[in-house]
Amino acid sequence: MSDDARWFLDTWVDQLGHLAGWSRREVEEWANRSRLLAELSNENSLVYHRHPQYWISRTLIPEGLQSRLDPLDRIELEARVSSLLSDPDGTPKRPSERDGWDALRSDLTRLIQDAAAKTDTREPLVSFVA
Amino acid sequence: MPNPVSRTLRPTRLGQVDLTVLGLDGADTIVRFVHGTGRLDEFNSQPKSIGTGDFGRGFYVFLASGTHGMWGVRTASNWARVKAFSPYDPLASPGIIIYEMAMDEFLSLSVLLVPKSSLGGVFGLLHPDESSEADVVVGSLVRRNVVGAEGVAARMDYPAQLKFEDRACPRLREVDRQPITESVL
Repeated sequence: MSDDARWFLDTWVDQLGHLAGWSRREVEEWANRSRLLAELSNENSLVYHRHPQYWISRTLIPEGLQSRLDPLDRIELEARVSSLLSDPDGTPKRPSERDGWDALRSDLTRLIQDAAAKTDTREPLVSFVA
Repeated sequence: MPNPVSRTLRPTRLGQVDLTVLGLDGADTIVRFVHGTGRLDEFNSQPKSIGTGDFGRGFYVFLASGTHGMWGVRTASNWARVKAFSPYDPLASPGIIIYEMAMDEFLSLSVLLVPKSSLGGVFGLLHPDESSEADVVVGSLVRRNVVGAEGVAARMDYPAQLKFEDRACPRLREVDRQPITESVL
């Protein structure tokens, strides 16, 4: 695995671990199942056109909510999640202190809940936060 | 903080640009563009400047005309495939949409040409949700993960991408859309 591929995977492990409670093994299985690992082995893959956090933003949005949102609202939400996971320079946000991750998790939960509140369904959302 | 690189870039008219830079022949009367999406079924016929990306809010297309035409179609198709299947998207319907515009109209648009040497600075200013003063922004498709480095590296083997700002999106006229199946990629 190249350094770049490893950086992508480590970023996913870091962010999905802190925000969704996934273990490294769960992240690796997700990356394998979703073909991202295979894409990372190709240094010219368009996966590398985006920063790593871009590729987990959709995963952090409950599928039930994704299917209920209008397409433009869903794209906007994915973009907002991706921005939330990014530092101002576009690189992945990786808070070093526990409080930093707690704050990020709260912001993410609020973002999801706000989007869910705008849909007109009464179905409960499955929380993504461990 | 104002970005020193982007301050040096100013929009110009496409009619004043050497079209060979874009791989276009000035004799063409129609210009075609291609956009790849992971959810073709959801895509409205009227393009809209949405989402975030390299140049901020935008609608990302490649040229489907000129010497880079097939290259653009192939890259848009690859993008659609990656978006649809990586990670797996239960609502995926990858495909490409072809738009066209009269050459005269295209040449009347204002354009911000972003040189490879300025990519990093411009991204920093416009990402994630700002737009430029131009109708169209043209820049390299890039690889952005470089561990421990600047974070943006232009790749010479990718075609330029175009971002039509909201004001210019209505100029694009859809002429075709083609679903992409895994078996053809």
